[in-house]
Amino acid sequence: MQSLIRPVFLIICLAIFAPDSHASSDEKYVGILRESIHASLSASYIGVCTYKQKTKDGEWETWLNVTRSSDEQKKVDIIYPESMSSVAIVQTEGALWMTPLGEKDLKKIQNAIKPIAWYRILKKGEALEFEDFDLLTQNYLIKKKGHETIAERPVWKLAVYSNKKTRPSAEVWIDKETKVQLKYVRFDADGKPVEKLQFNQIEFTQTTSPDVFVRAGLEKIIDIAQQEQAPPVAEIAFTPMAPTFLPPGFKQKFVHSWDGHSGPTLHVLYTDGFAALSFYQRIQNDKEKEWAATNDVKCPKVRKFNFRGRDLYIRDIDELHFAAMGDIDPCEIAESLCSLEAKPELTEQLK
Amino acid sequence: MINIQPDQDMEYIRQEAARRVMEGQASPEEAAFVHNRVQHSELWMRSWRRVAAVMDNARNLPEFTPPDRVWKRIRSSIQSTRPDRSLAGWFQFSFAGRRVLRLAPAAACVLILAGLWLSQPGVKSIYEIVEVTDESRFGVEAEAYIAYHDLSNENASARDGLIAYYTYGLSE
Repeated sequence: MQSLIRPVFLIICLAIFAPDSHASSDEKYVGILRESIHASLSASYIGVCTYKQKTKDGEWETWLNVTRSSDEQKKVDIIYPESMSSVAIVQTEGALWMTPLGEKDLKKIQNAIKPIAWYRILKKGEALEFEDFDLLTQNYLIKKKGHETIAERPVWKLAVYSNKKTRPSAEVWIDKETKVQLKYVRFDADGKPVEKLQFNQIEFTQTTSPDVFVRAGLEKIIDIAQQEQAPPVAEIAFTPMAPTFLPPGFKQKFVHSWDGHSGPTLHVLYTDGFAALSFYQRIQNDKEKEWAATNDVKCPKVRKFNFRGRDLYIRDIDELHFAAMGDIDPCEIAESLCSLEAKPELTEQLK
Repeated sequence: MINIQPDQDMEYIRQEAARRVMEGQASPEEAAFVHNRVQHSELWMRSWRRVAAVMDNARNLPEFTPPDRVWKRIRSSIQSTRPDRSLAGWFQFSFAGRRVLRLAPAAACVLILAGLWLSQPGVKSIYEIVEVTDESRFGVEAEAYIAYHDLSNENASARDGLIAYYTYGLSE
């Protein structure tokens, strides 16, 4: 009997420390999550939702009365902030239309205007966004965490997370009948919530009266159809560089250039499906050249510049100025910044 | 066009870090960091192999062929012991099984400590991240960079339009 104690102890130890044999996504719920993105943007319903986002100025919140039709028409009446409660926005005929605001109204609501936040909720807000869903399924686990009730409707609660601790994550509550997302919360790599949407009331309808989406008396604010056209590309007069080290699971998503504040700037975005890593590069300006000539700018030293709560990692190499940012571990960003090599084909990819 | 040279300094840093790990001079945090990078970075893997090859050559020992009597003894020892194929028997009677039993408590301690250590948030990096505060001229540009990053899911025209409005229209 005594001889069995040790093997049993060993087996218990192995059982405790054995790798998680269930460390893979449940295919059924991967399919449901994928379906929910389309369902959320094509369902016909009337609902009241709250949306919160962490912005550079703190937390930004709005309450909205949303009417959506299956043909992607949408009307949003702002309930909160109160200063904007008279404002309505309609998405129809390939554009966003809004209640015209006089100069007096603009001054009154100046603090409530956050164009990027508004754009996000008005155009895409009802579904959690992923950079690349196929890549997401390779790098993240999608698992059911339980059954709950949101807006008096039964939902699945799903979790999207990575085994790597330095990646963002999310929780999504999906309506069992319609597959529409009724709630989602996005967390940063530290596990802090950065974005949250929740329907408090929702009623799904077969048809919506076209009278709801009338744009008469409203002003066109964004022409969605025009946005689909390719933008002009700024000419890059240097040989671009790219990191030879990318954090595990990351791939290049796009290359774009524009005439920035200090000259033509190249933006390369890398993603693992959910987290994003941006690299910006341009020719050093005179002050940067002077600074780089008199200071230690060599790796492993990387500068960090905190701008309104967001971290940018800076490096000067030869005659180029680099900035990088992303919702991942600073060490991985530093490593990427220290592994730069010339990559002329990035210029070709711009065309 | 600007002629850009690859960053030579990093190769030295990687090789020095690899050497320190191989010679046991690195702290556990540094060793963990290096092992992690070697797993995920081709550059680190190349540097590691270079250092390993150099050190291997330096320690290259002549091969030793054991005399025949060693193999005879091993064979006779195996033939004189009837193998016990049960798990308990393996633990109790085999040399490896007894070794495992003896080492089990120590292995459990190591696993517990490793688990606790791995649960710590991140490992110490070889990178020196220096916070700078005197880059005020960088402000407008930084704001555009953040906006471009946050709007990465939008098409390029939408990004450009919103960023122009956001960066130059409101905040400045």
